Amino acid sequence: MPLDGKDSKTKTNVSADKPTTAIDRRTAVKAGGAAMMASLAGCIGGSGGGEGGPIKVGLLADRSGSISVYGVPMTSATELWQSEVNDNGGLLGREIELIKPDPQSSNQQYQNLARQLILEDNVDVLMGGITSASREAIREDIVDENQQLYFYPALYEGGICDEYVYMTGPTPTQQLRPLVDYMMENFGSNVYTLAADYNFGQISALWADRYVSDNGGSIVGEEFIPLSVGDFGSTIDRVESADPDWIMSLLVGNNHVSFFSQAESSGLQKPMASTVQIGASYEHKTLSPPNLEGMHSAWNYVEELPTDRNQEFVDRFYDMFPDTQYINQHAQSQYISCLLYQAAVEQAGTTDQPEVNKALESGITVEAPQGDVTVDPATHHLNHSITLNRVTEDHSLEFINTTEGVEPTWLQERCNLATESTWDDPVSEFYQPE
Amino acid sequence: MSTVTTVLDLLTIIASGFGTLVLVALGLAIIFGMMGIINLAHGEFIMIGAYATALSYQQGIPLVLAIVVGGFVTGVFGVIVERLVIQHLYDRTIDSMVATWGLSLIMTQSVLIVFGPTLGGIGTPFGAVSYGSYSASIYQWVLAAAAVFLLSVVYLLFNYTEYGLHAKATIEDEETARSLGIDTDRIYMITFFVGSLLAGVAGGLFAPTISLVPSLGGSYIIEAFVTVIVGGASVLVGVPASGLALSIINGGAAQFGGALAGRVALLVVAILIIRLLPEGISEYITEHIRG
Repeated sequence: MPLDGKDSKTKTNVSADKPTTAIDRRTAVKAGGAAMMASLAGCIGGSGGGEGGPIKVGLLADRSGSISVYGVPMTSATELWQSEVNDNGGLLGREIELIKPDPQSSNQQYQNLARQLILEDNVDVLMGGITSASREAIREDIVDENQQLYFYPALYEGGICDEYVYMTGPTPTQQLRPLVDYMMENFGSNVYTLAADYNFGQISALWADRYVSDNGGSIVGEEFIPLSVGDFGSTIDRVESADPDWIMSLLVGNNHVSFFSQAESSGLQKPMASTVQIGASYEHKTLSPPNLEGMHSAWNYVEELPTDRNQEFVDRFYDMFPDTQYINQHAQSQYISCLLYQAAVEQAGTTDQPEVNKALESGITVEAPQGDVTVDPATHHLNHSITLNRVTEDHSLEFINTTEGVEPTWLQERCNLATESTWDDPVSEFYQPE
Repeated sequence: MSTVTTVLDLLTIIASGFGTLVLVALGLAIIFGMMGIINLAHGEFIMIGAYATALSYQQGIPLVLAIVVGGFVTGVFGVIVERLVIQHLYDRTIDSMVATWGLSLIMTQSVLIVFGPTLGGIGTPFGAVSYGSYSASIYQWVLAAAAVFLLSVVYLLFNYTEYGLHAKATIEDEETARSLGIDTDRIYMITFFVGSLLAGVAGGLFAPTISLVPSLGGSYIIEAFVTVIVGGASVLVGVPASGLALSIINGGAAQFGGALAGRVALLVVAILIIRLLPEGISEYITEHIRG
């Protein structure tokens, strides 16, 4: 049975993702120095973190290295918001100052730069992080430790329940439910799951399997593939001999993208579904048609989303950044992070972080490009509307349906930050499915 | 499923693995085996070949010609690198690693800045062939055929041309070769050109099966080094022998245990071979054939 032994594997301990963060002497000295500098600055009359001067937004988004495909559009989205706010007289009459060091796709850099942004630059809000590993590198030991308001925009495996952290991307539980429903209704109940062999892929696959079985379907095969594998000959064979009705793709990264061209050129023609492809690294633009024809994906946002509000956003984005290749989920969720912060500061009337946090926890709603989104006060996640799309033969997207206000229900059963956690007595958990 | 289709299927997977390993390793083996330069930017040379091929193809050049263009662009790029950097590093193996590693970072980031995070892909030509309940991509066999073809070209180059003779003399004894009037500097330059060109052609051949991103070289570099080290010093014996051995192990294990099992088997066997035959397979083969 393909599910054998998977439960033990999916209880991936968080610590595997969490680099050791023993503070060495140099960092301690640096931090001490920074604190001294900060207190000196305070004496002189207060730059960052105070009520005068610009509002400091710290952004950690990789603009070089292997995950710059996400970091570059995230940076652009933040700069777009910055220029829009500053051109309209600023936020509370104060300019937005964006501090955006490049973590270079290195988790070590994330730690150094997060400390620098918080302790030396004294930012009012911290944003960014792309991989779960980069987020976990800074979340507990740096963000929580320093009581720093932090927005994380990437889609991720779900489960974070943290007083100081807001997750503005979707989680698999939100994307999978509408997707699995549609696929099983239209294509059948026998599913083959292909997933990347690490935390995100394992947990996403577990959710996919659960929704499939809950709907009365069966997993006829499942394979976890190391991120370094780019040759799918044997995988394609096994899928063919299992003969599923459709394939659930939770493949991640550039090596895995080769699966789709290899499957197509091998004549493996099955409907596919994914919560990873299309919206994040726009494979329908980078693979040549018709490699991805018949791929169904569920997203809170894709660039092609056919609404007037999104079209205006896309136009503004390309006006400012004409070289953009695609506005992906990460860019739009980063833009949501900015809008939420802006709305919360306006509501609170201050950049004082506990006050801004309270405003966010009041269940604030903003008009995002994807549609209106509301903060779920209990989990600090968003209620996303999830739109299903299908890749056509010429690789354009055909929209199927939209499910409004999909809540992070699984986490809501475990996490209640609004009532059980305060700024000074915070909850910080990372729940994993069993 | 019948035995025939299973065997045919396994053969396809082994052929495809053999093609990939030989193509990624050949250029590296020539540069490493003949010049002692450990080129950690080899993956990025493959990337240059893939990009040049894709860009030429998008200009309307037929794929085969575009792959040749990709090879030559990479070869010329290799010569520039050799003149500027590598020629100062002969006999400095460790330094060459550091320099080429730095070079790989510069190349990846430059391509990212110039072309953005991705480049539009090329469709895989030739389509599929079906047998029984299976089907396979014809292009996988084309890769294997191309690998055999390039091996033959390299064989002819080193055994039937004046350059080949001079190159072998230079490896055997550089000083004597120089005193006999061979311009060893030039030989090194040409050798680096040939190695780079082969990396570029490999990139061009892979371009239709992968998505083009600046960091794509990173996915080949480990396989390339494992193949070269398992193969040993002799390029023309070592590369095909180790390519075949590793692809049989990888393909066989992957067929029965999944991609992860294939990857594990490949690396375990590589470690065993390096432990038991420190000079590589080629040493063992040449010793036993020559007695």
